[in-house]
Amino acid sequence: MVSGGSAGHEPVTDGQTLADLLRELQAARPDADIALVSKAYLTAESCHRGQLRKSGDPYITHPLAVALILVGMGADDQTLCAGLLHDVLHDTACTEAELQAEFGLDIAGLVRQASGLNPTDDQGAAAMTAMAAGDGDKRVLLIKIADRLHNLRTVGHLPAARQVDSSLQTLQVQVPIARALGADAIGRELADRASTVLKRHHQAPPSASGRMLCASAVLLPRAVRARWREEWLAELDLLPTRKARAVFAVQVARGIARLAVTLYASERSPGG
Amino acid sequence: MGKEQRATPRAAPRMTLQTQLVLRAMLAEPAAESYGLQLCAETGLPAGTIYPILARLEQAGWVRSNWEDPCAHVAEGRPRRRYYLLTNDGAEQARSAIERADRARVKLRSAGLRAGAPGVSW
Repeated sequence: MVSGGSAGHEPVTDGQTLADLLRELQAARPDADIALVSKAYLTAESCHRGQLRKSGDPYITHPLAVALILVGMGADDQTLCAGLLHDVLHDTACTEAELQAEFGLDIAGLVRQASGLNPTDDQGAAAMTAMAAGDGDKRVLLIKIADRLHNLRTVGHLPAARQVDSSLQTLQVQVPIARALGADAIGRELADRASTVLKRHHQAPPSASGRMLCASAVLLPRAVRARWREEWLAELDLLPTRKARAVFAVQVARGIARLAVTLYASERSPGG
Repeated sequence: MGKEQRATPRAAPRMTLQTQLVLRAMLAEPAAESYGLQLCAETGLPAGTIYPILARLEQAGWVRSNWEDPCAHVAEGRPRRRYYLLTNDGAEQARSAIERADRARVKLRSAGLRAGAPGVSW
């Protein structure tokens, strides 16, 4: 129990409040079940009370933001409620049975499924990709995508390594899923934010060897340049010393003409 | 409208000694993916030799390449790798190409010994 504050049951959340959510929801969908969504918010707020985000904001700011994103994605009432409650099973004492009793099987099931998909482990990411391609409740994926989007919007509060991991994964897992779900605007924002984070972290001054590799790649056909550049920079990353990296870059530069000849030839050949 | 060069879009790669080294390294564990730097270490060949060979093998259809599964590199917090794997057809062709090269070498060697025998007295 941390200071509950005396601001009543509607804490200020990064400027956004339950009132904002309800207003946007009514504007988007006049027939929305305001009572149900409000109840989900209040339940989440009470479960997470005392918990803070890395940013120092009350934790409820996160599910609230996720729900606002979901409104924009055209989610139904059940999905919105599950979005508001998506972290209560993981991070609070709330149980699935309690959710079932309060909100019914549908919402409780969505929350359970969303909690079960941990995108930071292999299985979770693979399962999400499989769900997007096959059967399974797409509403769970909407929640996961909205969750990732808000996490990326506030990623600055995480350690650098987590920022990079999360951004890389976003480009490889969540962006394609967002596109597969037809959420193009969300996919674009995810991709833009992830790319910006990655750029920011690669801006640690590129090493001389890295610059040399990038310069070498300019000699390759435009269509495949990025691939080889990325491949080499990844290999460079594995080399332990500056000298080893320099040797690698020089060797690649020496072979660049042969590689270019091969690649230009395969561009011309119908089989390539 | 000459004849389209459709007949041999996938000509077999030239069996240089370096190419043989790369193929031998990959054939040691044909189902395992390798990346460029690993093949440099396994063959002792410089990077500038490895990548053009891999590109030629890929062009010939003996090898295919793909980006590493995100889960692996994300967990290790490093950039994704490009992995190379012998295709089924490629593994077969590589095996027989290496056998041919070995036979040719043995033949040469024995021919050389016979021819060279008198030379020993020099």
